[in-house]
Amino acid sequence: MNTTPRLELQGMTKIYPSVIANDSIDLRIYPGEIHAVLGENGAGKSTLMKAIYGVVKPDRGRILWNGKPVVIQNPAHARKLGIGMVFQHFSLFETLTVTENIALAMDDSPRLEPLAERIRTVSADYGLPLDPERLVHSLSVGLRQRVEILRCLLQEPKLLIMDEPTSVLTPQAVRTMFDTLRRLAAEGCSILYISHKLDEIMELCHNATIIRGGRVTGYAKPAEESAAGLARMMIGKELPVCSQKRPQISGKTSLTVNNLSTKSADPFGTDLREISFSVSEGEIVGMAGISGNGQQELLYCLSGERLVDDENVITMYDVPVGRLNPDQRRNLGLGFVPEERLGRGAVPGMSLTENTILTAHRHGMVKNGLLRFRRAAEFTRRCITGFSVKCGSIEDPITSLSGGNMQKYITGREILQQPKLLIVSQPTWGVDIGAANVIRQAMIDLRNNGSAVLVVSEELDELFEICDRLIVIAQGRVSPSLQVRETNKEEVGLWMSGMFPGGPKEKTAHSPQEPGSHVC
Amino acid sequence: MGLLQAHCPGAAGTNVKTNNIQLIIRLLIPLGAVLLALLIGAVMLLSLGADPVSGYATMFRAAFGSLDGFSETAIKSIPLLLIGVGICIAFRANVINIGGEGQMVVGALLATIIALAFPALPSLVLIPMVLLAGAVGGAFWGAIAGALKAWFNVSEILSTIMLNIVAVQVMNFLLRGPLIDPAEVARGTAIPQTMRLSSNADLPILIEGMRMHLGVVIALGMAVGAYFLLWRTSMGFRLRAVGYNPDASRYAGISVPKNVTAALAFSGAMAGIAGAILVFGSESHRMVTDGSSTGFTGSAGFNGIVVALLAGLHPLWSIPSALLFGGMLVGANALQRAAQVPSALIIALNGLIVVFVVSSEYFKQRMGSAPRVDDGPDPIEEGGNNG
Repeated sequence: MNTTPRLELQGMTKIYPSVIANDSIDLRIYPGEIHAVLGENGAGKSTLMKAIYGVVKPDRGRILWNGKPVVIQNPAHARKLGIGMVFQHFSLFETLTVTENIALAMDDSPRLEPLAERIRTVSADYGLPLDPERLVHSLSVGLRQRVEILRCLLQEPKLLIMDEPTSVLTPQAVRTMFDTLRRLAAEGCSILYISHKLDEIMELCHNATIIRGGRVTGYAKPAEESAAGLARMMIGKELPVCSQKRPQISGKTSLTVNNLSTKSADPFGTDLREISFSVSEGEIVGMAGISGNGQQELLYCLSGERLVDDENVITMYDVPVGRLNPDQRRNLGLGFVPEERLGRGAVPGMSLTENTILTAHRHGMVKNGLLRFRRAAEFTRRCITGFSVKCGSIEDPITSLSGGNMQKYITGREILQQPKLLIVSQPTWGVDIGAANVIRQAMIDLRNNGSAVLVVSEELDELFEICDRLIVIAQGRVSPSLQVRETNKEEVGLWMSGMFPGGPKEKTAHSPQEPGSHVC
Repeated sequence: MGLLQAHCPGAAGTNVKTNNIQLIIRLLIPLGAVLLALLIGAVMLLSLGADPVSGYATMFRAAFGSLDGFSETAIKSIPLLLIGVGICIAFRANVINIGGEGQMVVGALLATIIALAFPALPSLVLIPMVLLAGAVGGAFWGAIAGALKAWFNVSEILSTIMLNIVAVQVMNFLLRGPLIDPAEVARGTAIPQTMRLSSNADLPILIEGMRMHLGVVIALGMAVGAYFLLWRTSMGFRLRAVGYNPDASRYAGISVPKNVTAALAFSGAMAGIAGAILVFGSESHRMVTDGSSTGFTGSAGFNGIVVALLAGLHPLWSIPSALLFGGMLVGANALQRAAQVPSALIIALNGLIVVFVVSSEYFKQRMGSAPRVDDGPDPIEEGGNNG
């Protein structure tokens, strides 16, 4: 191995007015190395990556690139040096083709035909086949990520930064991506891999730098560590474990969906086709699926933000709710955590306390039309303590929270209302593992107290950990349900690509099942 | 900073401190803007051959220098304040109400009709009734624009301006026809005005020998009431939630169309009350216009917008802001008399203040924004757009 590190950070420090985001961080990554950066939300990973990619200027510290000190001015400069970054959220134009999107991101303006040819060869070469002529809106999320990765690969990066890359992939697609990354590393490219999925890091990464509270708390060889050991370094204490003990409750049916079909309002959305399923008291039902397969549209219908034509299509506790608005459904005991945190789950511009009133007002926070701030503050305090929400004060604007903390707050706000039916989209998305377990435990407790819970998530590990039954959504269709004990990730992964009885890619030639005739 | 620490007590202290500094900045910036505008006004005075120092002194003395002057200023401020308060309410629901003029007119007409219909009712009943009629008339006129926006997506800026024109035509028709003072017809002068309305509806004078009347108290009450409505009631909470973010409001089960309509209705009600006060607090105690579009309102429906802007669209700050602009109106007359300066200068000065105050909003936002507690909502993700 080459003895000069590809990238070396020495004493990187970034101070924000109220927090030290990075405190003398040292990090060294060699050519051909896959290096994990492990840390909770707010640990400073993001700031560190931004410093490497030239988005923020560090207050102190040096960056050595191939042994020479550099000051990275901006992302274009970083790209010129050979640093590429694949963001967690894609910045692609849906109405443009793959080639056009990639051309837009390049610093020089290339001719399109030769570029398309290059895309075709490079993508095939790395085992990520992609048709350069396709419009982005017709691509699945996994393929869109390929566009982002290819965008970096075409610039022949010496260092590739991957921010939580597997959250949008099926288990099968994760394998493919790992192969690509290993191949890149073998060719001498260094890879900085940011993730909170410990098993992935243990499988893929050669070395890891663990960050907590802006400081490096350890360096490790993930393959030689246990998951618990890594987690301990990351959160500074033992990982809380979810207790799976559960009373046997054979409850009433809480939510039923009967043959729901709708056209999506979004021209690039997914139409729902003959969806039927049910959730009962005392169970957690997980809905697996890669995002963009109709989850959004279905959740709008379930929450009441979009009404369906026939009120009987959706029932809650035998009440037809298809024509009821969100407020009326909440009065029936519904709690709902949407995928978009800011601007849907919370009102930007309002404080934490006011955002508590937004949905929890029916719990004694309004009397004779007047707001009772003391009640709201009390509830908010319970929420931030119970769900480890990091915030300055409960009167601070909600926008002062980081993404993960906002997620904790919104999920906590909905769970603390003790809903009879809780529908959650991506409950632990972007949340560190310590707090994720708190959220999972709260959902399990809710179930154990007799509530019904529907979890829509892309994270199979999470679904397998907490759910009793699983259903899969693909291209607007919902699969029959599976008992978690009787299935495995491989089967669910296949179903996620649409290969289930009655699914869009079902190989056997039998007709779609009658609505309601579930396997279980 | 502890990672899983839920609440950082240390941070709270610094917050209070930064909040105070921010408050001072937020106060100083618009004040500075007004001073800059007055400075340019001084140059204009100089170019007109008047001494700016004594000119401004004259204005200030006339508006605030005596109890009498202050009484005049207060009266001029009433419609400005009420319109401004209405603008604040609408703005919080993210609705822009340019229809104060029309809503004032409709409110005043309805109040006038009530006073004509029930002239014999005792003051204790009739005064609340005419004020309520003003509120209802204005609210109705505002709600039309609100409903058009809420259900048919018609821009409220356009519809409120159009409704102003409609209201003025209705007023001209009524004041020249059915509601005209019979004496005017008999004399053949045909000034578009009603007869002297029932004295039972006269707004009581607050201080003997001055013109300041109950309308001042009502306007102040409405400013406080609007503050209370917006920040202390669930109704106001819904208005603000819709204004901040319709998607989140829909998620929480708050009806966006209903609240958009309600916001314009509340806003219109304030204007309608202003219209009624103009009628029953005037010295002639009748509704009168000169046939022009601002003949009845004296442009208060537009000038009130400026009041609200200077007040940072806050109902309580609208009180000093309305006094400032009311004082300028009074001072302008005095200046015109003393220095022979055209009163158009004051219109220009008003305009300058608006331009400076609105522009200063940029600095207010830059200097007044709070630092983040955490390292932001996953900033790298946001940076993705550059990548």
